[in-house]
Amino acid sequence: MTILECVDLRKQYGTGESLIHAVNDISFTVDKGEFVSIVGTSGSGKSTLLHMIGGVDRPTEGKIIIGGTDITALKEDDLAVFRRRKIGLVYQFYNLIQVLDADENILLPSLLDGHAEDREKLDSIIRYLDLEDRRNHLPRELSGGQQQRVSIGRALYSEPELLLCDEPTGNLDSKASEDVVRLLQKANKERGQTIILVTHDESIAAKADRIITLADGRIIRDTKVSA
Amino acid sequence: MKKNMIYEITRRYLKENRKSTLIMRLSLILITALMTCVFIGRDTVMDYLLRVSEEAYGKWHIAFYDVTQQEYEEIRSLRSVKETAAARTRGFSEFAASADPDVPYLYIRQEEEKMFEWTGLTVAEGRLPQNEDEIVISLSAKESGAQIAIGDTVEADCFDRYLHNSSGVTTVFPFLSFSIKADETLEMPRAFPVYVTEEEKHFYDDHEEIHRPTGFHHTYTVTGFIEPPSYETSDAAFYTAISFLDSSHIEDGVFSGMCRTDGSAMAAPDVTRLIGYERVETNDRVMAFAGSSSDTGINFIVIIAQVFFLILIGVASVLLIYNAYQVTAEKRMQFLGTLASVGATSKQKRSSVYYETLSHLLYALPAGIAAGLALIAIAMMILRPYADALVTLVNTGIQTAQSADVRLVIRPLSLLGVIVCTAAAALVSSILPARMSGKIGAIDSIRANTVQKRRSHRREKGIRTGGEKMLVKALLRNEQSGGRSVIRSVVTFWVILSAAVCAGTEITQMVRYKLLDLNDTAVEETPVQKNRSETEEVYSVFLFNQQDLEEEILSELHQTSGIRDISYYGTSIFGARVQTQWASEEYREAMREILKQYDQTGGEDAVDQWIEGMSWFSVYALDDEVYASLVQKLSGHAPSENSCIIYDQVTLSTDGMALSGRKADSFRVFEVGSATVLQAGETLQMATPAYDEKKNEPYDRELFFQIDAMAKKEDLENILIPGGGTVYVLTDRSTLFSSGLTDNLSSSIVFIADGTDPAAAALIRKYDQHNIDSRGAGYSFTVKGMEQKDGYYVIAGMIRIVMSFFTIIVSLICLLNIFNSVSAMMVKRRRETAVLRSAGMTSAQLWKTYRLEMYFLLLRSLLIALPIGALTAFVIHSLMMSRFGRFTVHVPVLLLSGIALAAFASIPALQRLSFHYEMTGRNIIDEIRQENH
Repeated sequence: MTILECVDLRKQYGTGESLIHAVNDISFTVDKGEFVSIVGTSGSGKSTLLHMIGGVDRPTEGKIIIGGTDITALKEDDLAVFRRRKIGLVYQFYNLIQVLDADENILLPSLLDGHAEDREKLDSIIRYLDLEDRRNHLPRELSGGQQQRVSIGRALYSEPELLLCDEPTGNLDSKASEDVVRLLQKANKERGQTIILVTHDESIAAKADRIITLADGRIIRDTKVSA
Repeated sequence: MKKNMIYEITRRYLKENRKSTLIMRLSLILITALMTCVFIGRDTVMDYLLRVSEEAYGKWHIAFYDVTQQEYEEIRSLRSVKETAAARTRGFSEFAASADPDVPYLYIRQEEEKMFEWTGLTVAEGRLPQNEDEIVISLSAKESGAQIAIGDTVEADCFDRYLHNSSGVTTVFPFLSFSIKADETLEMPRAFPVYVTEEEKHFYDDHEEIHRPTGFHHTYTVTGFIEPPSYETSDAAFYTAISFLDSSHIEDGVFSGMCRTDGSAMAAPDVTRLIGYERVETNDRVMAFAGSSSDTGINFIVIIAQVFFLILIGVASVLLIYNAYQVTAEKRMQFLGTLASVGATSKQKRSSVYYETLSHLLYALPAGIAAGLALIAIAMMILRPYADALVTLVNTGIQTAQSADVRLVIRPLSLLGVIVCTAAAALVSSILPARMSGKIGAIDSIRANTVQKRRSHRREKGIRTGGEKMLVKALLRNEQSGGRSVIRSVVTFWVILSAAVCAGTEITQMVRYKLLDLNDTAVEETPVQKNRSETEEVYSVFLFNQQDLEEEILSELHQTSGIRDISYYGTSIFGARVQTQWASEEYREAMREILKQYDQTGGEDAVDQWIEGMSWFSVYALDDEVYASLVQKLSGHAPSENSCIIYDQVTLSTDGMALSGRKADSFRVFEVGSATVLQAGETLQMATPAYDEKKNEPYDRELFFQIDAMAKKEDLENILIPGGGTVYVLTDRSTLFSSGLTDNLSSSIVFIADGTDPAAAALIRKYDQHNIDSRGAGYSFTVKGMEQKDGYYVIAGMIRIVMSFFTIIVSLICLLNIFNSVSAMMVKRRRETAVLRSAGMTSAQLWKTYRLEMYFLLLRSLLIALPIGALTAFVIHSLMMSRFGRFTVHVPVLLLSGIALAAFASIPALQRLSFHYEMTGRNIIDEIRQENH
């Protein structure tokens, strides 16, 4: 079952001679439960592509259909609501709210949606993230790996249709990177979470089911990774 | 846990960022304090001025005289009249108990109880009368030895006093505004003295005081003694005696009365319409502060000042709050962008800003109102001595009196005004930051580039030299370096300061013109006030037609130690009439504009008619030596024969014109730079009224003055300060005497005396006791402290203090804004500084870089601020001119420059402080790692 469909996506910056095609005519689909890595050199357009899929950036042309909804046609606020319900985003620099503790950061999208805290679900996520003893700590009191785990927890709490990770290990040491990737794999395998992971690290990319390679804003390779 | 996460995050964000939160709250506290000053301060000051004025001038609003029973009833029934009180003058009665032969009468009035309070009747001993058989007598009677005590009876057999002139010529009593023609019999003014002393026997022979009985007889019991009312002057022939007037008896006869209005401006016109302006007197100063003056000038100025300051505070709030949000934009972008990435809507992001503003308001409103009340209390403490001076001046002239107690007037509606206006200003100020916050997207947080405009910078070619210079250039190019915020705050400071100072000066000037009776206060002979020591006082001796005494006093003063800076001023009371066409087009234009306010339809004929009336120039004589040096200075030669200097800078106002008691449509004032077409070298032909004793008829005596120079105000500033709507002909004492303008010569000798010098002190005591009576022969007295000469100046001084307070607080808010910007700029530099330090830059090099950058920023700010400030001042001035006429305003450039210099000098100091605080003891690696956090 297709969960994501990108059709003729283009993203341009600038005009005239300084026109840059960050993403140039990209089309692909992702099935539910797939773990996809997007790799490429710096400036190849992988992060731009991910941001467009996440609805935080808009394509110049093309369509992005997630779970049957064309998010390029949504208004800004509808897109925000869609994002908090259907998409989880994990960034390289965690992007946690510094004044909220781990628990609160995880609950944030749900609370923004007006839902009350689901304590059981929260405890389960916290256990899942192995953050039981750090749950009431502020981001600045956590290590990079722990902060990234909170970020993943925040993305997973709403059980999104799509988990998008932008260089989630880019700011971590190798041990923490391994932990984060293991956590993502676990989410994919145990919870059937669809994940799109952007990375420039081929060894991490290789942990996914499928690798899409970008160069100059185009897909130059789309390969399945054998188990 | 179900709570509004946006509010919760905002609340924690504020807690986390203590410094910016504190600055924002302090700013809002100051804004609230200012709003409190505008609303509650206005009420308090106006209430205080009203009470001080009531104390000084009485609580009555309108007095009316000689009204019949029917007229009195009509006045009472007016809707604009709130309450009335009647009085009945019974006239004079012989006072057998008097011990002073100069004061042989009682002046008996009956008043309703309310009038006791309205006229400020103060019981010194005993009690006020409670029925028509009781009476209170002026304490001055007892103090001058009258054999009278409480419980004694007084037999009143009343009469009116008349004067018959058998001297054969008209006699003028200038200080009583009274003149009587030959063989005429007129009722004397109330303050007229009695002719009984041996000294005035020669005068007494030519004038006869006649008593005409009124038919009123009554026996009174004395119930107390009262402080002498202001109309009981020391030269008057009577002691005041006031009895009770029963309300049921007011239908009997002709009355005078007083009323208080309902606060509407219609009362005075209503009463005037009923009985004519000749019998109506208004207590203008009290009515002005009560808001019930038919003259809308004061009320309008107060409203203008209030609206102006509301606008100023509003603009300052918007700029301040916008800037405060801008300096925290980066942090805000980070958390709002993150919120956006997890699905926060625009509305939710906007609500974060509004919630922040509201939470600041929650603290700022009570604290700001308290601070505002404290400021008002301080301002009132400063105002108090001015008010004391006013009461002193009006009531006693010499002794110090205490004014009304200061009390804060907190009206619920005003309090609501403070809250609503502050909240509105803060929320309106938040609209823009909220809109900007609403637009922050997740991508902005990720890239941290929401306010960064992609703009290509021109790269400099060639070899780069000087690390600090290169850095400064780069920093100035970088829009994210915080420099814009500093420029914005400095420009805001300057523009707001310019607006506040200019408008404050304009409004003060307007109030001064409005309060100053331009005709009454024509000349200020006050230059000798300058450079006085603490033991010295300024004294004046006023004389009328006493040339011999003038000589004697001048000689005496010059020979006495401890006395210095003796200045002579002399003027003919009636002046002289110019015989030629003299009015300039500028003067005619001002006159046209004034007449328009009186709806004069006579066109140029009306203008000519009024100019004809203004042809009486004041001839003013100075010391011969002073005058000679003035002529020398202005013309470069010695005074010619019959020399004069023309001073023709005049000020015309609708108040000064006062056409036949009518009120102008609105207040206008015009300063005329050159009222005449006269020029140096011309001969000025004038005429003055004289009386031919042989022919026994009046005639015009011709005078010719040689105009040696035309003077401007600044030429005379160390000699005298002319004012009003009259052209001055300045000459010397000798010329004045030789021109024969001494028939009605009013002169004053102003000097400084050191109270610790025995000779000077003895002379002052002698002058104090040497009060010659005022029957035209001569008159002299002394006044201490000439700077307290006129109550109008005191009130204008109070207004100036109020304006200064506003300016200081507005400046403080703007300074806080600058501090916030500078501080935020240095905070933004933490990581950058760490990187530079890691690259080997020393603290001295860093400081040099940042200091240099700040100088450039200040220069850039000034280049923007100066023209905008000047434009703002011009717009304010133009608006005032379009509404009030044409007058010059002396913007205190030195003060303004001083404040600006001090403020600008403090900016690098603030930066140094911030640099020290932000840079000292910080770990380079930690700071570098702060990237994106």
